[in-house]
This record gives sequence, C-alpha cells and structure tokens, in this order.
Amino acid sequence: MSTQSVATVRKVLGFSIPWNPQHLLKQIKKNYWSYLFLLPMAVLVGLFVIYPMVASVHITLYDWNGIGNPTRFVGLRHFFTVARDGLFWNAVKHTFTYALVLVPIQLTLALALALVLNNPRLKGSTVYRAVFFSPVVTSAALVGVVVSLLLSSSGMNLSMALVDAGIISSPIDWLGDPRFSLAAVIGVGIWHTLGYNLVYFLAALQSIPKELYEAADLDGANAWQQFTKVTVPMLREVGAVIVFLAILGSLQVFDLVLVMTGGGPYFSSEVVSTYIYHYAFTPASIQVESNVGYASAAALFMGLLVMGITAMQLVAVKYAHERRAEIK
Amino acid sequence: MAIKIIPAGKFPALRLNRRAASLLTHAILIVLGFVYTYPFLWIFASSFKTPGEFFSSGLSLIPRQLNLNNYVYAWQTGHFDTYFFNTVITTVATTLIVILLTSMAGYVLSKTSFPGKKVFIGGILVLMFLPAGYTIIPTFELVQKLGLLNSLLGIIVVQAAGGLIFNTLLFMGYFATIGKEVEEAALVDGANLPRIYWYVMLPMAKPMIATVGLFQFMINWNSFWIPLVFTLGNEKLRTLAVGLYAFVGENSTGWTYVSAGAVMSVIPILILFFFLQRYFIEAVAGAIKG
Amino acid sequence: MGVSLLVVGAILLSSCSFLGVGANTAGSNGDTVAIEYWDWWVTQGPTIDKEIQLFEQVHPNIKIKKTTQVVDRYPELLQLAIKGNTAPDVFLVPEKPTFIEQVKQGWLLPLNKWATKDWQAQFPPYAFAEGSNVIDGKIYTVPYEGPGPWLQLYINTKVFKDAGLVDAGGNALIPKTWDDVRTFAAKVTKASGGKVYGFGFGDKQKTILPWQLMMVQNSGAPGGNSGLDAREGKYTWASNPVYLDWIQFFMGMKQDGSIIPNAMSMDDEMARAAFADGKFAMLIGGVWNQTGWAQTHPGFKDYAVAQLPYEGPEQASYFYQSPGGTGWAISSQTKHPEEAWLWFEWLNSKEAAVRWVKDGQGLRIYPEANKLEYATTPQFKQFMQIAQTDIRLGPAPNLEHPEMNEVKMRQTLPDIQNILEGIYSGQISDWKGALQDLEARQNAELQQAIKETQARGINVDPKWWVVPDWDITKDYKK
Repeated sequence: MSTQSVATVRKVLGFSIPWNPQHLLKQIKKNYWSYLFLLPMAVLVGLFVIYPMVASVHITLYDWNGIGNPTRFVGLRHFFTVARDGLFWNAVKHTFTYALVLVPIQLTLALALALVLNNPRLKGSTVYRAVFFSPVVTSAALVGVVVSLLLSSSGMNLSMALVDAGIISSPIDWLGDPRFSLAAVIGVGIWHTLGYNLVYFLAALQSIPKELYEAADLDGANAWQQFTKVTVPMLREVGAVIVFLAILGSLQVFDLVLVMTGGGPYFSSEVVSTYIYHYAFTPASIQVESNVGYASAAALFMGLLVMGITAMQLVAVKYAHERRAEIK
Repeated sequence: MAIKIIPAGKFPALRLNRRAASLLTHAILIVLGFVYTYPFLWIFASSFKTPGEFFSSGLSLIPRQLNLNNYVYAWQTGHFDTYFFNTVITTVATTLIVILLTSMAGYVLSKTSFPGKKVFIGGILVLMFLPAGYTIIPTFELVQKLGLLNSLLGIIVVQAAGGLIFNTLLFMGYFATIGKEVEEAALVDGANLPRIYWYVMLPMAKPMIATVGLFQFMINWNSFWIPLVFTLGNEKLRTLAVGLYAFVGENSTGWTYVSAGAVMSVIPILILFFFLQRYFIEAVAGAIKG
Repeated sequence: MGVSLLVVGAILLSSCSFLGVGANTAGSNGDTVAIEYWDWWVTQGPTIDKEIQLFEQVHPNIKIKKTTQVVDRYPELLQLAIKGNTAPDVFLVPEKPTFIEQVKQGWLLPLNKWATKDWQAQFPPYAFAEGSNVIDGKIYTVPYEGPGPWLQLYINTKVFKDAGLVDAGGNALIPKTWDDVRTFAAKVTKASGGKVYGFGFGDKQKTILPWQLMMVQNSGAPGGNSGLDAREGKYTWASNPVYLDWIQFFMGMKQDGSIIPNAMSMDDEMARAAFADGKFAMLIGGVWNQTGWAQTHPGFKDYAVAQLPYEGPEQASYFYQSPGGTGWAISSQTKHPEEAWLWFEWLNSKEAAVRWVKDGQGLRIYPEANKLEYATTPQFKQFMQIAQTDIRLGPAPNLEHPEMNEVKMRQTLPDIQNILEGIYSGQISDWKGALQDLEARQNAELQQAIKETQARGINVDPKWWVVPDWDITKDYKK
C-alpha cells in the first residue's frame, strides 16, 4: 500500500498518530491507566455480549427449531428470504414510523417537563418527578395489558358515544382497527418511556452551571433567550446521546406491541421485533416448526440495516460539514 | 431588591403576578399527572379487587372492598420473602458494578486519548446496533462452563454485562460536558488518572451516577428472563419478577395477584427514587457552593 | 471507599452462599427424597396441589416440589434445565418440540420397568400407540386427557331468556346450525336495543378467530382450522367450500351488528368476563371457561354448553381422536426413578382421575372416570354429554409411518389466523382469493418439505398423507 492510501485509511479511521511502532508502544505504555480502566468493562462485554452474539450469528445459517443442535444448513438463504419478504418490510416501515414519530414528540415533552420541574422554586417538584416517572417503573408487559384493557372497554364506550352523537357511523375498535392500531401503540409508547428521558434531561440540566444563567440574566435576557442561548448549546452533547439512545431504543419496541395488539390486526401494527417473535415462537401448530435460525437472520438483517442507514447519515452530515467548511 | 424568578422555559415571562403563574402551573401539572399515572393507579386499585372485578369494573379506580387477600396470596405463593432478599442482592450488586465499570470506561473514553480509542468507541457504537439475536443458549453454556449456573453471581454477571454498553455512552457524553479546567487543575496538583477519577470526576458526576443507578436498579429489579434461566435448578434463588409469573397461566392469569405483586415490587423502587431525588438537589447545591 | 467495600461485599456474599448450589438434594436428613415436578397449569393448579397433599400423606418420605412455568417459554426452559443437568424429575410433556424429537434428544426415561402389562391394562386400548407415546416398544408417557371436542359453544341463558329465545318449557333455545346462531344473535341484539350483543369473542392475541372457524369441524371439514383434509392429503381451504361458507356466515353476523364491537381488542379472558357479565349471549371456548368463571364470577350459573353448531341441515363431520397422546413423563436425568415413578403413577391413577373430573377440570382417559354422576355442575355434565356424542376415531397415518414426523414445514405467512383477521377488519376484500392463495402456498410448502426430507436421505412417500377410504361420519377402521 502506498503511503498516500495508508494515510487516507488512517484519516478515515481517525488515527491521529504517526505510524511508528516504537512511538506506538510508548504511547500505549504511557496510557496504561486508560487501558486498565477499560479492561473490566471490556472483559465482561467480550464474554457476555460479543461471544454470544457471534455464536448466534452462526445459527442464522441454519433452519433450527431451538432444540438440540442446529443441523439443517441453509447458508445465506434466510437473508435472501427476509429481503424479499413484503411482511418484513412492512414491519420495518412500522418500526421506523414508531421511532421517528415517538422520539421528537416524547423528547420535546420530556424536555419541556424537565424545564418546569427543574425550577427549584417549584414546590413539590420531587413529588411531580416521581409521578411522571412512575409508568417507567412497571414492566411494559403489565402496563400493556392494563392499558389495552382500559382502551378496549372505555374505547368502546367512547366510540358508542361518538356514534350516538352522529360523528361516526359505526363503532370504532381503536386497538383492533387497522387504521388506528399503530397510532394507539405509539401514543402509549410515548407515555410509557417519557419518564426515562425526563430524568436524563433533568440530570443534564443540572449539570449546566448556574452562573451562566445569572450572567445572562444580568445581560437582560428573557426566559426564551436564556433557553436558546444557554440551555440548548450546553445540552448539545448529552442531548445528542439522549436522542441517539431514544431512537435506538424505540426501534426495539416489543413487549408493548405484542401485548397490546399482537402486531395486528393483519400486520397493521407489526414491528420488526414482533415479526421476529412470530417466526421464532410460532403458535402451536403441530406441522409448522419454530425457526430460530430464520428469526436470528431477520434480527441481524435489521441490525445491519439500521447500522447502514446511520452510517450513511453520518457520512452525509460529515460531507455537508466539509463542503460548508470548503465554501468558507 | 426582590429577586426575579426565572420562569420555567415552558412559559414566556408572564406579566401576570407570580402567584397566578404558579397556581396555573400546579393546576396543569396535577391534572396532567393524574391522567398520566391513571393506569398505574388502576393497577394499584386492582390489587384490592376480586378476580372478577378486574375485568368488570371498567375504568373505576375504587375497588368494591379493600381486599387484602391478593397481597397475602401473592406474598405466600410468590415466595416474596426469599425472593425479595435475592432480588435486593442481585439488583444492588448489578447496579454497583455497572456504575463503577461504565463510569471508569466513560471517563477514560471522553477525557484521555490513547491508541485505539476511536476504534474502541466505534466498536461500542456497532454493538449498540447489533441485536442480541438468540443468545440465551451460548450464554447459558458459557455460564455453565464458568461454574456459575444456578447462582446469584451468575445472574449478577450476565445482567451487569447487559448494561455496560449503553451506560458507557451516557457517561462518555456526560463527562464531555465537564470542562478541561477541572482536570487540568487536578493534574497541576500532581494527581494521576485514578486519583482524578475517584476524587474529582466521580463527585462531579453525581447526577449521572444517580440516573444510571436508578435505571439499572429498576431494569434489573424487574428483570425476569435472566434470573429465571440461571436459577432453573434452584428455586430458592429466584427473584421477585420471576415469582410474579407464577400467576400467568395458559388460558387465564391471576391479574389481581399480579397487581398486588407488582405493587409490592414497585414500592422499593419508588422509595429509592425519592431518596435519590434529594441527592440530586444536594449535589446541585454542593456544586453551587463549590 | 464505601462504595468499593459494598461491591466487594456483595459479590463475596453471593458467591459464598450461593455459588453452584445444586438442586435435587437426596435428603440431607437421610430419608426424605425431593421430587421436582414441572407443569404450566395455573387454573388446574389447586387440583394438583391437592394431589400433592394426598400423595405426601401416603408417602411421607417423598416431598413434591412443584414449579409452574410460563406456558410460552416452557419448552425452552425445559431444554435449558436439561442442558444444565437440573431437569425436573417428573414433568408435563410439552407440545413442542415433537415427542419423537424429545425421545431422540434423550429427554425421557423409558418406563417399561414399572409399566407392566397389568398397569397398562387399566387404560383403554387407544391410550397406547407405537409411534405416539411408545417408541420401539419403550413406553415414555400416557395421555391424561380423555377424548372429546376441545371447543364448545357457551350460551348465556339469562340473555337468551330476556330476548325471548325460549322453548315451550321456558328453557333457553340451543342453536344447532349456523343459521340458528345468526338468527338468535340478531334477535338478542335487537331485543336489547343494541345494549347486549348476540355474539362475542376476544381476538387480541390472534389465536381466537381460528376458534370461531372451528365451527367447520362439524360441517364437513374434518381438518377443522388446520385446513388439512386427510382424505386428500392436502390443504383444502378453497377446494372445500365449507370454509368460504363459514366466512360469509360470520361476516354476515358482523354486518347484522350482532358481534360486540371491541372483539378485536379484547383478549379471550376479557371476553369471558364480558360474557359472564351478560354483555353478549354466545361465546366459543373450552372446558377451562367453567373453572375460570368459578373463580372470577362465582355466582354465575346461567349458562349452557352445547356442541359447535354445524352448517346444516345435518351434522356432516365430528371431532376426531387418534390413538396415543402425551401426558406426564419422567426425566432421563432423574436421580430418584423409583420415587418419580410413584408420583407419576399417582397422577395417572384412576382415583386421581376421578378427583380431576369432580373438580371440573376436564375429561380423563379412563372412561370409568368420566361418569356423568361425577359432574358437580350441570354445565360440566353437558360438556361430558357432548364428549360422548361429538367424537369419532380418526386416522393417524404418522403412527404407521413414523418417517412422516421428519417432514418439517416452514411457516408461510399470512397464515389462516392472519387472513381471518384481515377479513374481519376489512383489509382483505377478496376472501376466495385469499383462501386460494393460502391453499396453494401451504400445499407447495408441504411438497417442498417432503422433497427436502427425501434429500436428507429419509424415505417418505407423499401418498402416506392420503387416506382415501375415510368415512368422516364413522369411526375410522383400517
């Protein structure tokens, strides 16, 4: 490889040190504390996250029902089947819809609420925080059951009232109606995990030094200006992480959908995780087997898809920045 | 001179007097809070209902009687005393391990530079995307080889591993907001990395520690599958969430018992939350003084 | 400082006390043996608990430790326990993986040592079948459940009476045909001014619409909601007109407004509660509904049990029973086979069977245990009566040709439950087309699976699936 291409590769990977083995060793020795601090986490991750993940990749090449050892090798067939399955892409569409609708709405609400509750002058803010946090505390499965029960019975009463009032012609079964099932799940999703992001934002807000607000106040800035000029810039780094984690978390929604609608009716609220579940744990139909191999392949496919999309976005953003820098 | 209140970012500076704004805020928060916790309150009410009432009482929050049977039954059948003890051990240990390991890694990744750092961060990000897949069998076999099957330590280790990636990123992001001056001041005083971490960085990270701690505590307190799988051979080691599942049947579920069990499981978390709340405020107050 | 001490302390504590403590203790007190028992039964739990008490009285040196696992994860958990060498001594045999596979994996202990000819003789002849629960002459399990239709029609007699659906003697009418169901349902809805509905179900978890489809079982579709017709050895969703007829009947009932509007967002449990609360008049379910209502609505007695209505004018087919079946089994890893056998024997005894029937849990394999006088409620008696009439013996080609069990079909979606959902919600408008597509896909999948099995070197003949000489109105005799 020419020095030119090596340099490019290193630039892409972000290495900023010269390629010099002795220098490298010195750097490593100098930073031994850093490595030591990373070691425990890396060991546990290596054993219990990476190793099982790698081991589970190998079953994507088989038809396997989960019992005993995989024996029916099918190679890459599952990946092709997934790529051609309209129901998979339908689930992908719903999954992204769920995440991209939920995250902006939920984070805006969470930030707004955090700003209100962060005010030390607000009496009883402790109580309010506990109140808005509480849905998170119960498992998604139990919450899903209770909420779908309430929505089903009172939803029927509501739609009967709408029929009586002449607004609609026949009753609507909100969770059981393909037009509303996904929306209902998104609504419940926003409510359920808002508490997490509320607490993250609270922690982040409290890391902003008070002196900045006092200085802005002295300069005569009003509340909105303080928000845009002090709060937002200071929140950028943590905020980016929060958004990133919120999106990633929403893409994995499972319990809520499974319990509230089972992915139905007729796949109208099916997300990728329920799609996978349906293949890994099919209902008891004696002729048809579970296919954990296929399910794992679909999961891996989705993971790579999301990674690919994110990578493309990062490249696009970087490209846009560089162009802007060049233009300047 | 009266100090002007910095109104919350939700409302622009109102010309109305303080009182009205404050009352309005409280009113909205109370109504919102009630609607918000409605399902939760409903579960609480259901823990006192008879099995039939669970489905028949609709939206009602008032049980027909204060039926404590559900609590007694859930406690006994769910073996809540033993399981409570187990859950406390596994959850506290897991949480502490996660906080320690991820704050260490997060600090080093955000504040120091060393060969391979970018690769490491890239690796973490990739791991965040990749789904777990069907990993229970390889994990089970690994734990078996390590001799940790059917032990609380096995549960702790596997659960802790699950929280490492996510929270390392959080700490990394958090430490990034802390200015270099703090570190540089400590370096001038002649501190090495571990000292900076322990005496400077950790105290400054109290809000994030509290946050991560709270969430890890909560997730692991409610964790069901890992504790179940890794205690299949010894039911004395089970946790609360596993005990709750004793009521979930093929065609019916004892929902009132599940509700009672859920309420009993949740109270410690709420207590912890209240406790950490005060810690938040103290930490902030401490930061102002310092 | 304090933090690190806590961490170290926690880890030490947990490892010292609990590291690798095994499960089955062969009596540290010398004599007591602990037997681990697994099932997934919650509603039947109290009956089993009583059996445990009675058993321990007779065998004071044996303690039964019951664990009820969640039914969805039961096969997985069993597999993991076996892998970890802590399998339960006695357990309920799961439906997945196939029984043959469980035997192949070495999960089960052959019982021939204790299951002598005398012990076997107490069971009816169809209880044991080579290829079903006896493999190569080794007995592994015996069914506990007796033959009978697993679904029935439940009628809220009070609602019927309020709607005027009574006979000359003032008793609620019993619908026999699909037309009866539709007419009665419409009458109930009309008579109550739309406050009470004629029919209901709870399909949130997607498995309940196929139960409604089971109304074809008595109407000339011997495969019921599996779609498979053994007479032709293939799936007949479109080629058997009964399926489309049923869809038209059921959607007709929906258009009449007779079905409760939130049927698709309720789950089955909620629907059963709504039925007991008198919100609708007819419900399809199994015998577990009865013990369920005994717990949730103890005063609810105004209901009747009838067999599933047929298309008409006559009943054209029945529920079918094949020989063999599974029940409990003993683990091959058990360290206490003798004691495990004692518990197994007890569970399968005639006395335990009678107690089971008296508790209204269902029918048992012994005809002598299913005497009508053991019924403690009139509804359970009705259920027993249906079980005596609505059942025939059916063919079981996979007993003769065990290689058929090696043929593994892959799931092809949408399956019948998805299609029924799509039809009910209006997303699918071409009903016939959907059925034709399903039939084609599943038949293709079956043939493909057969080919792949042959390619693996196993000799399977597609003709084995076909049983042309089967008269679906009579017991099948070879």
